[in-house]
Amino acid sequence: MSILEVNRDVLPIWGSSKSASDSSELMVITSKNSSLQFTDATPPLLSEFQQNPTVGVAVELLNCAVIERYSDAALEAATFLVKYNNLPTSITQLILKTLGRNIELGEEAQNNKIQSLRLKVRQHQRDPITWVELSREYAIAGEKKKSKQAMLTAVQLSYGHRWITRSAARVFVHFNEPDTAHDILVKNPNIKTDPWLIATEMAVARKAGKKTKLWNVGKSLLDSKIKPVHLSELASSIATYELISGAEKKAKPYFKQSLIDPNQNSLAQAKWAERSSGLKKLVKVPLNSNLIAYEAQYWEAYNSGDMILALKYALAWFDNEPYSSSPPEAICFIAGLLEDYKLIGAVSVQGLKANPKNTTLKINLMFSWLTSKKLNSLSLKDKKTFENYEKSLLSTALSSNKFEASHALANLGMIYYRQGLIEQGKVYYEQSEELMPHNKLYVTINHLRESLIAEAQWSSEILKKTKALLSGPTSSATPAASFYLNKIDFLNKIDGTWEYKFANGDLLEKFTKSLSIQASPPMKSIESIFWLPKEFSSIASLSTFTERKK
Amino acid sequence: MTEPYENPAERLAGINLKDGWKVGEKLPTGRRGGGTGGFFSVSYSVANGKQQAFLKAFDIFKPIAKAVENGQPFTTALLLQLQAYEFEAQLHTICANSNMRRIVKILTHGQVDVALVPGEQFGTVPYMIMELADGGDVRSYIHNAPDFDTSLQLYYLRDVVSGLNQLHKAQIAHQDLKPSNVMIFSEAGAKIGDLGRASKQNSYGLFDTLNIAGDKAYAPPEQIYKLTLENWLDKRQRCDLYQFGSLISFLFFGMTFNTVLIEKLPTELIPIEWGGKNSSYDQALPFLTELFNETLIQWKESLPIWLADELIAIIDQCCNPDYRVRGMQKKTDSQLTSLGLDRLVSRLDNLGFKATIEARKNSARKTEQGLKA
Repeated sequence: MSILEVNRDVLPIWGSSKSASDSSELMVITSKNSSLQFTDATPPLLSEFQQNPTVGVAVELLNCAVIERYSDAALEAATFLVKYNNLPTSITQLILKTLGRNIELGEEAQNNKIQSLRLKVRQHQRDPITWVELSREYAIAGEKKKSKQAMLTAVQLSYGHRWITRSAARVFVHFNEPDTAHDILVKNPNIKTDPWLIATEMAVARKAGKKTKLWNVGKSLLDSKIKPVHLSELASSIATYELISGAEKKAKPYFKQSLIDPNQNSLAQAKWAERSSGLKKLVKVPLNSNLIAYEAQYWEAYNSGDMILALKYALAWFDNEPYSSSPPEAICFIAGLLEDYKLIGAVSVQGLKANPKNTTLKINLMFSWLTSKKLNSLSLKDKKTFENYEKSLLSTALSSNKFEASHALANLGMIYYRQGLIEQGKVYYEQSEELMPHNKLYVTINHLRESLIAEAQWSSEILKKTKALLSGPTSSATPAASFYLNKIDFLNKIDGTWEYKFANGDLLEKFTKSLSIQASPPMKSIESIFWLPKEFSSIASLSTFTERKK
Repeated sequence: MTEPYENPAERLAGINLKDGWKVGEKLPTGRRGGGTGGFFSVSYSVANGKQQAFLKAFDIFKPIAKAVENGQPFTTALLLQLQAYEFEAQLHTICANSNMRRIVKILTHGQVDVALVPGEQFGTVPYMIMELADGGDVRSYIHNAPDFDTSLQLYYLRDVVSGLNQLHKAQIAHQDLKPSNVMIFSEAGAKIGDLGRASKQNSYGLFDTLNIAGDKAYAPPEQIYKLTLENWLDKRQRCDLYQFGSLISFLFFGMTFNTVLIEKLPTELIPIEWGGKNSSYDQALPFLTELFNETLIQWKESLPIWLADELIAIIDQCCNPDYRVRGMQKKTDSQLTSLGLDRLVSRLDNLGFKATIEARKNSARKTEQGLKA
C-alpha cells in the first residue's frame, strides 16, 4: 500500500554494471577536440595479404579490420583463416563470428552469482566493477555488512569513478546510512564539477537531513553549455527540493529542464511529482516501446488503467532493481487488484531478502498466506502461524507509522470478514480508512471486495461510498479504484458467488480484454523472473516459484 | 593511353646507390602510409655484393602535397618531412652507436636523385638501408599447429622486451611496436624495427604532439580515449609496454586486447576514435578492467598448465588498461623512472627454457608411445 505514499527522490538507480555500461551516465561531459588522424592500417595490410597470403598476415588483417570496421577485409581474412584448424580458440571464435557462424559458448551459471563473483575478485582484486556487482548481489541477499564492505573496496579502487561513487551512495542510503553515503560523495574529487554527482549529493543530503553546499554550483551548471542529458538528474534534484519546500511554481521549470533529454530516473521523478503535487502532465512516458524506464512506465501504465501492462513493467523494474523495496511493493499493489495472491507471496519473500525489515512486504506476505487458507478450518500447524500473524498485525496496527498501521488494520478487517465476524471486520476497515487520509479509496475497494465475498448487507453502501469517493478529488489511488469498480461492474453481470468470481482467472482475463487495452509487449513470464529456494516448495501457494523456468 | 603516375620513391628499383648498394625489387610489407603529418615509405631489397639488406625509401611528396592541400606552406611541410627523416636516422645512429643488439641495425642512409618524369620538379628520395631479416617478421610465429614450438615465441618475446629495455635506457620510446615491426634473424633472434614513430625524451619529434603516434589499432586505451599524460614514463614507456602485451596476446591467442574491446564493449563505451560514443578514459576504465580480467581468465584456460599462470601474469602487467599499474614494479608510485623490464627479460627467458624442457618431455613421451605401439 505504501507504494502510493513513497517520498521518492533522485537517488541513482543502481542497475547492474551491464545496464550501466549502456547508459549516458558514462559519457564524457565536455568532449575534447579530435586530434590529427593517421590513415588506417587495414588498406595496406589488405594489399600485403593479397600479395602474400599467410596466416600471420591474415590474423593481423582480421584484427585491424575488425577494429577499423573494414567488414569486407575482415571477411576476406576470415575466409582464408577458417581452413586452419589449429589456430588459438580466441581467434577461431572471431573468425567464425566474422563469417556469421554460430559459436556455442558455455552458459554462465546464474544460480551461484555470489560464489562466481567472489572467485573473480580473488583472481583480480583490483577490479572495481566486480566488487560493485558483488556488493549488489550481497544487498539483494540481505547481507548488509558484506555488501557495504565490497562497495567500499570498489570505491577505493575506482579513482573517483562517477557511476561507482553514485552506486556507493545508493547502497548506503539503502542500508539507511545516508551520512556515509554523503561522505563518499563529497570526497569524490569531481564533486564540484560533475552534475551527476551534484544531483546525487543534493538528494542524499536531503535523506541525511543536511543542507547541501553545492546548491549554487549546481544551479550555475544548469545554465552552462553542458549537454541536457548530463543535467537531467541535476535539474530534477533541484526541482524536487523546490517541490518539497512548497515552491511548486519554481519547481516546474526545473522539471521541464530535466525532461529535455531525460533518463529513467528523471522520468520516474517527474511521474512522482505528478502524483504528489499539483504539477500535472509533466511528461507522457512512451509505453510498448524500446525505452528502458520501467518505474516511470509502470506509473504511466497504472495511470492509464492498464494494470496488466503496469504489472509487467513493475516486474521488469524489480528485475532491474532487485535490492529496492519499491518494485516489490508495486507488484504486490497491482497483483492485489488482479487478485493474484500467489504472486504477492512470492514477490514478498524475494523482496524481504533485501529488505528484511520492510513492514509492508511482511504484511503482504501474511496477506498472501491468509487468503490461501480457509480461516475457519485451519490445521494445528496453520493455527499457530495464524496466531503469530494476527499478533503481529495487531502490534503493527498500533504503530506510529500511519500507513503501516492502516495496512495492518485492513488486513485484520479481511481476517475477521473471512472468519465470518463481519461486523468486527467492518470496524477494522473503517479504522484503516481513517488512518489513510490520502488514499482512503484504496482501503475502501478492499473493504468492498471483502463485504461482497461475505455477502454483507452493507456491501451496496460501500459500493456507493466508493463511487462517491471516486467522483471526488483524484488521488494516486484513483486509477486503482476506477479499475476495480469496473471489474466489479463486470463481475456483477455474471452468475455465481463473489468468492467464485474473484477467484476465477478466466473471468479476470475476459474483463481485461473487455477494457480493450492495447496488447502488452511480450515480456518474460513471472516464473522466469522470480524463483525461490527449494525450501519453499513445501508451501503449496509458492511451489510454482521454486523451480526456475527459462 | 596514360600510365599511373609513380612518384620518385616508387621508382628506385634497379638504381645504384653510393657505397656499392644496388636496389632490387619492391617488398610488400604492409606498412601504412602516414596521414596528415605522417610518413609514407616504400620498401625494397638491396644488395651490396653478397650482403643482402633492406631499404626504406621515404616518400616525402605525398605528405607534402597533403599538407599543402590542408593549407600548410610548402616550405614548412618540406622542412618537417626532412626533419622527421633526420630524426629517425639520428635515432638509428644512436642505437647503432650504443650497440643495441635488439634493434634492427642501420647500415647506411642518404639520398638519391631519380630521373625526373615530365612535369616533375623534385626527384630526391631520402632512404635508409637496414640489415635484412632472413626470417621475415614475427607474424609467421603465431601458434597454428599442435606441436608448435612455444619456446621460439617466448625467446623472441624476450628479445623484443630486451630491445625495448635498450631503447628505454637511451630515453627512446618506440610507440609503434606491432607484429610487423618485429623482425626475425636466424642467427640473432628477434629485433625491433622501424623507429619511424619513435620519441626521444627531451627532443622534439614530428609525432610527439599526436595523441596516437603509432597505429591506432595497437594504441593503448589511454591514447584511444585521448587522455592527456605529461609524464614520459606514463605517456611513452607504458604505451610501449601495452603494445608489447598486445604482441604476446597476438602470438599466443591471435588477438589483441584492443580487438576484444571493440568486440565486447557496448557502443556507449567504445572510444570515439574507433567509431563509438565515449571519449572518457576515466569513466570507461573500470569496465575495461572488468573485460580485461574476464579475457585473461578465458585466455588462461587455453594455455598449458606449466605456462598459464606466468604468461597471464605477464600480460596482466604489460597490457593492463589502467596505465598506472602497467609495469613489473609492485608500487604504482608516480615517481617511478623505470618499468622493471630487466625483470621481464629474465622471466621470459625462464619461460622459454621451461618450454624447451616441456617440448623435450613431449618428444620423449611420443617416442615411448611409438616404441610401445
